[in-house]
Amino acid sequence: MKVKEVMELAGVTKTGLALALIKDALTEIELLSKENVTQYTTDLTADQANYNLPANLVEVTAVKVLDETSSYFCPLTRVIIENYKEK
Amino acid sequence: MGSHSDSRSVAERYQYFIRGRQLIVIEQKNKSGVGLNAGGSVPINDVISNDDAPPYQAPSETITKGLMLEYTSIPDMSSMTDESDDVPLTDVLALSVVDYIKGATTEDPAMREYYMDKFNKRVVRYVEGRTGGPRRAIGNAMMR
Repeated sequence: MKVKEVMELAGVTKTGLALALIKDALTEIELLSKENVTQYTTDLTADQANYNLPANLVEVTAVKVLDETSSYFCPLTRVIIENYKEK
Repeated sequence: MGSHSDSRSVAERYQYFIRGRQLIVIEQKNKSGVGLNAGGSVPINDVISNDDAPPYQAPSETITKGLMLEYTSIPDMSSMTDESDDVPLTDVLALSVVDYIKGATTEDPAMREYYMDKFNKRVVRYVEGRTGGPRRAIGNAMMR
């Protein structure tokens, strides 16, 4: 569906306003539907525990590490650590 | 690629948690490898003599392209700049956008609630339409 069709159905005439509201709606839809799943692979680096999360992230669904023996990515368990200590 | 003498599986060694906008990957220290003849990777002093040392550490090896993050993300909207551009959604969800815009632009609180409710119901119906029906968890080969 085109932006113009959405504007006509919603009764909005200002393009800038319509685009801004469509973007808001897309974010809301993503929060509800979790439709747009993305996979991102990076190096696991020795002595580095912290990795920045992508800016467009809504929710982390899985974190996996490559098992070099089987060549499969194995899902990791999410933990809660109080008073996390780091060097 | 790292060469590692640790016999534990990846799932046993590594865990994660999220702190703000950071993913923290930790490795549990291999306490079973501590001992006179164990030949473990953790110095015995780390575990026994230093009470302040946590039972975890940063990953001890480098694995090229070894960390996968699976996440839901906001779709790329940079290409949507004009009336003639496509809304990056299916037609069903595009109709929910119409409800959202009607709700956001009306000044009547009752109508706002009506349209936002319609928006939510349409999205939920769409999601349930794709994932409905009986599902069965599949374990590994050892499960009976």
